[in-house]
Amino acid sequence: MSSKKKIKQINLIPLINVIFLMLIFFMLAGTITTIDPYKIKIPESIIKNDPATPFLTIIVKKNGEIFIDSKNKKKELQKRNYLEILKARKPKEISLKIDSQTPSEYFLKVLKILENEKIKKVVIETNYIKE
Amino acid sequence: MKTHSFYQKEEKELISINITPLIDIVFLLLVFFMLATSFIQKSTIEVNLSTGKTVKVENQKGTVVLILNKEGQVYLNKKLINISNIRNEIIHIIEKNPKSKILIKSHKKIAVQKVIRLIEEIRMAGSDNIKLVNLEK
Repeated sequence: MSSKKKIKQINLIPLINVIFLMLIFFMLAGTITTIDPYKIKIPESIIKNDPATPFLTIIVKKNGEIFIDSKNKKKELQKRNYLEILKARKPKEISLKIDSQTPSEYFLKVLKILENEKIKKVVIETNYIKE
Repeated sequence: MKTHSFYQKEEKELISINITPLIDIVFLLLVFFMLATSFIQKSTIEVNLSTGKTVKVENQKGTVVLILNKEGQVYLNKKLINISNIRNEIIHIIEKNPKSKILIKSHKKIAVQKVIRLIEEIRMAGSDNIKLVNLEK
């Protein structure tokens, strides 16, 4: 009498179903974010507005360091010479990415610079939180 | 003597597709989306760059002065107020005088987060006429 070996198999179909559902959820519900080279924690906001789309972004770090980022050239992340870029580009509106823990004196300093450069619109990037 | 295959019990062959590579790829995709996606909703807040001088604004009739000190306490016209009550107070002020200007004097070392919270409360009260300055004390 020949003995038949039974091959026990785990049913993977429910697992695949769950993984597919999770994949679809993450694909639809989330938004892919880029890694922030400055590691800035932007302020929280209770007002929901459209995300910023200006051409130039000014980055202000916690210690008051100022950088400029152009969406056209990703590598153009320059320190100190942001004033030259502002004068050369003459943007009408600008986006401000500031760390939430930055002392307000640096914030006001940047606003004063932008005011002097005759920039009409300044939008601060924030994270929306429900009130 | 060998029996004929006809008499043997026929074993059905189950044809199955190997789904292991599919699971591998789906797992990789899942890990990618779990790590790369964010559920934080981005927003913006617009700041108006007013050109008026502080002294001028402060001395103007109908100017509301909000002081944000080092401890994060808020004073509305030199009276201590809870940040959650600011909205209602500003609404009352705007009802009386719709052209009221709001001057925020923040301490140099206070975090931007608190200044933005104050701006938002004023915006939600319906005023857009805000000027920001440093608290000199």
